[in-house]
Amino acid sequence: MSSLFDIGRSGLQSYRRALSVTGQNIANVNTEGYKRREAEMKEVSAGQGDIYSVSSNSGLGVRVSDIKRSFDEFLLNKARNAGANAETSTAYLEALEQLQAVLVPGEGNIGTVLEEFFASLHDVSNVPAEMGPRVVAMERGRAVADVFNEVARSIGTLKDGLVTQTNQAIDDLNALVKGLLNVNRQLTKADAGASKSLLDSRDMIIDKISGFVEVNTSIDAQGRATLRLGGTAAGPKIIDAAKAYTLRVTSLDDRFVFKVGAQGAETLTNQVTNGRLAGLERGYRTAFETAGKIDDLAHLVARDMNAVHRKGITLDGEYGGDLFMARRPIVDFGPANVGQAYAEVDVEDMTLIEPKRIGFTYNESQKKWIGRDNLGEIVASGTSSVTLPGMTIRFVGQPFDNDEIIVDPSRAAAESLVFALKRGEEFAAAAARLAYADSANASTSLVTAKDGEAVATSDLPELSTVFGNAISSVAATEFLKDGAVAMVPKNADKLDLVSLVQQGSFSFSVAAEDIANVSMMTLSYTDAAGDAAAVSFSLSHVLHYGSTEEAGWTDMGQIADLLNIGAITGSDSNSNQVTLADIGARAAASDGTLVISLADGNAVSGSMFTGGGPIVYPDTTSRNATASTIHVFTREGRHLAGEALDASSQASLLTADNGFLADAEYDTTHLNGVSAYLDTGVVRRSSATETMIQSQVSGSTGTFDFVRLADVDGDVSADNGTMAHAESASYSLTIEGFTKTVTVDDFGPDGTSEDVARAMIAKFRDDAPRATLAGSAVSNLPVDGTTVAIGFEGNTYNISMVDGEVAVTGGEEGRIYAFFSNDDKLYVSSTSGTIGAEAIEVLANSDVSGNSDAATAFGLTVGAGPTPTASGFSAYDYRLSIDGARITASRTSDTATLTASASATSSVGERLTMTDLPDEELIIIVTDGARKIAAGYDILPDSAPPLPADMTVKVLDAAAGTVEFLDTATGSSLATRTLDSNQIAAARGIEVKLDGILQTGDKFHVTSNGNGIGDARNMLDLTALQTPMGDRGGFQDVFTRVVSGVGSSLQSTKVTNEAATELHNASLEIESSFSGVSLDAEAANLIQQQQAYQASARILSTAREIFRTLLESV
Amino acid sequence: MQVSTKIFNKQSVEAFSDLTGQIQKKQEQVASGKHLTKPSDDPVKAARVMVVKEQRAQNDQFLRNIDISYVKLGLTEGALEEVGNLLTRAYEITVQAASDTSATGRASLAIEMKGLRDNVRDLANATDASGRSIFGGFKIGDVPFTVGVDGTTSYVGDRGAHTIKISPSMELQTSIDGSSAFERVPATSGGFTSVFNIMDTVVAKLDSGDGKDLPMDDMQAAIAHISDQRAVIGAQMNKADNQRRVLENRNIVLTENIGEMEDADLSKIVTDLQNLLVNKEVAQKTFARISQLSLFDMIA
Repeated sequence: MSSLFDIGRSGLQSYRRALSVTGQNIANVNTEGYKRREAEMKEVSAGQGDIYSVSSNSGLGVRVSDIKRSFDEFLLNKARNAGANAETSTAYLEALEQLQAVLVPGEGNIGTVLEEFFASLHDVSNVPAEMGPRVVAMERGRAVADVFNEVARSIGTLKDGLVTQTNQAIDDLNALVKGLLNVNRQLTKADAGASKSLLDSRDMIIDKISGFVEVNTSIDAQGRATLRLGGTAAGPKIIDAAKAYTLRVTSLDDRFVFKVGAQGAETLTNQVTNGRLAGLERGYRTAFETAGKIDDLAHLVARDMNAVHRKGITLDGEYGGDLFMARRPIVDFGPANVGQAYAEVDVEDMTLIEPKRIGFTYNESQKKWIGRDNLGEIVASGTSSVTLPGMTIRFVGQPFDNDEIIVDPSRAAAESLVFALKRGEEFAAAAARLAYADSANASTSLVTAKDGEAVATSDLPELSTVFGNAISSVAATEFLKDGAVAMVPKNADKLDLVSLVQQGSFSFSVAAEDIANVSMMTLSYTDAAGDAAAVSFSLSHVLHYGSTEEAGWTDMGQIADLLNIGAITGSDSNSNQVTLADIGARAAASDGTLVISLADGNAVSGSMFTGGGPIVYPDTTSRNATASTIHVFTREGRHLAGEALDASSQASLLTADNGFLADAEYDTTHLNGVSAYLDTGVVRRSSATETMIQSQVSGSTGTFDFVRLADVDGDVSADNGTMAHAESASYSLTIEGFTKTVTVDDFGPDGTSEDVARAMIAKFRDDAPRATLAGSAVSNLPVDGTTVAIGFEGNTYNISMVDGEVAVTGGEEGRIYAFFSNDDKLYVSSTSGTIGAEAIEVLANSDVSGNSDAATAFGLTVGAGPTPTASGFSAYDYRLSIDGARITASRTSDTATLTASASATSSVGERLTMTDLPDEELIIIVTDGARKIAAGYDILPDSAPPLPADMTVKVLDAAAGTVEFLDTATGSSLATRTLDSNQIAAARGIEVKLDGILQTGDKFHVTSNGNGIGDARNMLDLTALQTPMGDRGGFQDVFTRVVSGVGSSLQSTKVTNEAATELHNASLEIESSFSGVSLDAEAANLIQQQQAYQASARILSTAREIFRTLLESV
Repeated sequence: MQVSTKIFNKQSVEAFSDLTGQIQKKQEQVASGKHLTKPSDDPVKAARVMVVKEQRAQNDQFLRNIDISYVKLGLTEGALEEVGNLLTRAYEITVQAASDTSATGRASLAIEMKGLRDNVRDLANATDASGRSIFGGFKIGDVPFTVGVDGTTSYVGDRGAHTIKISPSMELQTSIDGSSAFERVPATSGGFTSVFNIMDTVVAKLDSGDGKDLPMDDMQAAIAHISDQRAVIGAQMNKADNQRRVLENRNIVLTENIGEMEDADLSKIVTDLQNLLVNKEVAQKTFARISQLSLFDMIA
């Protein structure tokens, strides 16, 4: 049977223990992580009695069965999740608040600075010619760039701060995880009693971890915790019973990347869904997105304002430049790219580029780069390049499937934005064009002008692709048919076109293996007189090099060279030995091709024997002695050079295919420079004679300028062996019935124009006697510097002493020579005959002062010398003189009329020289004849476009509505148009609209406005960007949207944060109502347990009294 | 439900700091006089305020533009008025010359007419305070009316007219080009003639002693033309006046709008603040009292 003592004692002991648990609770009322303990009482029931004892139903007292830790996993997890949520929004809120402060730091934000800039532009527009407002506007413009730079930098700093905070949080988190690992380890070995405080630590650590990142917790039987990232059990472990896994972060430009695991074996995770880390990450992403929006805005500001500004004119009278400059598009590569592909961006026009980030992904199956915008919409695709508004993206290198290339046109635009003007004058306030009615107009019609459709470049091949830049027979281009042959580009400055005759020629093509054995060539042709002729050449290699030489010919060029120098001779039909030159032919060859051209003959047939090989027959080209006519037109049909066309030719030539504009109208106002077209100079020489001898005969004199084009008329062979040209020039001059002719035999194959003139005058002078004059012996040679003047053929020559020698200067160069003979007599003589049989005359003092004394010093006397004579020669009544390439003929008597003419033969049929070409495309057309043209030209490098020239639109016929576009400065006719029903006409890229009833003769001016310093129209266009127009302008609205976007996020995050905090508090309350210590409850427990303790003591005393009663009763 | 002492204390403390935060915000509003201090206070309203403020600033700019236009228009108007006076005198001279038969009289009238013509030309070449010509069109850096070797006056400016913006869509012409002002006088013979031409014709006739066929009608037409030009300028001034009133009224409305959206209702805020202060005090006192209350006090 149980003892009452034992029962009482058990009560005492149990309640003392319970009291100490309560005491512990009270003591730990403020201990973090402490979970309320509770002593669990249990009755000690009587056991089954043995055979010696009597079983009893009364129990044996009480005991503390367990000290329970008040812990509810569900409540705890709920509180933790709520805590993680609250931390997310708190961290995010902080970031957003900072972001808001960056965007709207008070008064000086992007919106207000832009507003001030626009206000300053308004001020410029009020007084566009004044510098004051311009200087202010410069400052304001810089402020715009500065505020963008500052915001971009501040957001960068904010992002850096978030990275630092995140790294700090991750360090703290990793330390906590390590601490938890320790707890787990201790739990592994701990006995149950010691583990209560360990469990408190465990739960406290997990609470703290939850603040950083949301985790999924699972507790094993030993109380060890396994944590996984995220709200579900699917996330990666950061700790289990035995191991902790480190969390790491990498900050990319646009986001954080979290990784879990040991270095090198990390796995990426997207399970950082809640908690401080998630909040910081969201903040980082929002900061990136906001920075992107600010970049976009900067890009828009630069793009739209530049586009307008460039259209205007500065105070310096030039086109406006860029107002703002930002970095060019940035190209990024996907982090996981396997291939080596990269991209290059060619910016064609920054002002057209959308500030849209485009991600290109390579699709291997389609072999294409597919570009998507932020919304995933496909915006472009291409294999090697993609064209987007304003830019072309070229992909280079070998990509792999799914490789990524990102083109971000606006990124870093805010950071790099620079205000580009350096001086106030550079604001382009004036519009680039002013249209107004002429003051003298009979009507009151008004005019407006705007950009018309730009005139597209014609499809004709460009000059440089058609012509080698050389005036040469063998560099000439032959055309198959009449019509437009080339386009002269806008930036051409000088053009020299030569139309050539086609020489008759043979062209042999020998197979490579037969070249060595070429043995004989025969040529049949008709000569200049039209008589049949033939010649044969023995070409056997052995014949020319002997049998010791190996092989044979290796190149037909060897044969051509030998033929040209006359080393190989042939025999004509009369068995005379002749060279190629003797028959007026020239060879050119390369590899297996041999071409032989005839100066004035026509090729008929020929043959070439190749040893044992086949006989080769040549292709023959017929002689065409008619050189084509060259015409040059503007695309508007202004005929600048050539022969005037008849109506049917106009219709057939002025076609779109020939490069003419649809509205082109034939106009001969400026044909061949009769009246200059703009500043263009045109010299057209329409025949061989005009080209080679430019003669001018009027009254008693005539001048003859000789031209020798050695590359055209000489013996020339093309290096590539496809063309040869045989010498073809001859020049004849007829003066007063006497004709002299010179050919290459006279002036030599390398002869220049001067050589031709010299040869020509020499022919005239050959028959005539020389003039001579001899002085008397002098005792002393005249001292240096002594000069005597003599007259000869109307020229004055000075004979001077220079270094003890006689020198002649003046007059016709080399015409007179003078020397002292051994007997110290001065001899003066003409170097060739004088056709007027004129004497040398020592000039009198009346002609040259002091000449008589000078004459005496030279042993001469004033007066004419002896008249030259020669037997059978009678003096002509005119003189000839030469100066460079010019021969001047003049009648001896001023009143007589000179009869003189010149003629020339040449391969040149006509020559067209144009200088100061207009700033527009021209069309070269070739008609009638050999269609063999050589061209020389100067093409200027591309330069900044000058202001367009002022134009005048003149009403030709008010009733018919025809108008003419004229160049205002020169009055040149540029284009003719018929007004449409709205009185609109467009030409040269400008569209004019005439309003009102027109009168014939009305004029309207379209000027470039270069001096229009009082004009502010472009500035008004700029200020108009303040309000949005389509997708342009309205920058402040864009900024407002960005700000209110951040503001909205902030506001909603605040609400979220309040709710989350509230929820967290409530969860904590509930959880703590279960596991927290309430002093009131503990006090009640204390009283209760104390009472129980006292009562138990009472049991003991009762037992003692019972015992004493028993003793006393004994 | 049992409330843990620690949580009770913690939550009470948090409630106090929350109240303090609210009080601070109200204090900020009282100090700034603004209801909205940050966009996040009310993003929609804040955006609206930004837009309205921008509009007001733009209107202010337009008002400034109008002020400047008054100066320009005034100068032009003044010059044209003066030209009108001179032409009226020129007309009188012409009338007088037609009736005056003496050669000497005509000669002296010719001299006065020349003086008048030069005066008109000087006015046509008038410049503003910065030395820019008023009637030069856009070429205000050059002298617009030049005298040729033959003594005739010709216009070398262009026919551009400076305009300013007085609303996002409305423009105001602030100048009139010299050609429109002086060269487009409808001639009695058809077409147009210039003021200088008419005066030169009179001078030439008088110089040659001819008092017949003086261009009297043209002279009248010139006076009428100049008066028309004044009317053009006057119309622009009217337009400016009207727009000024519109802008000023609009600004009043906008300012009110901003005030409504942004300005603090002080009485409400102060009342709120008072309530919050009372709240806080009561809460603190209650907390103190409740914390004092403990069962332990009862355990003697």
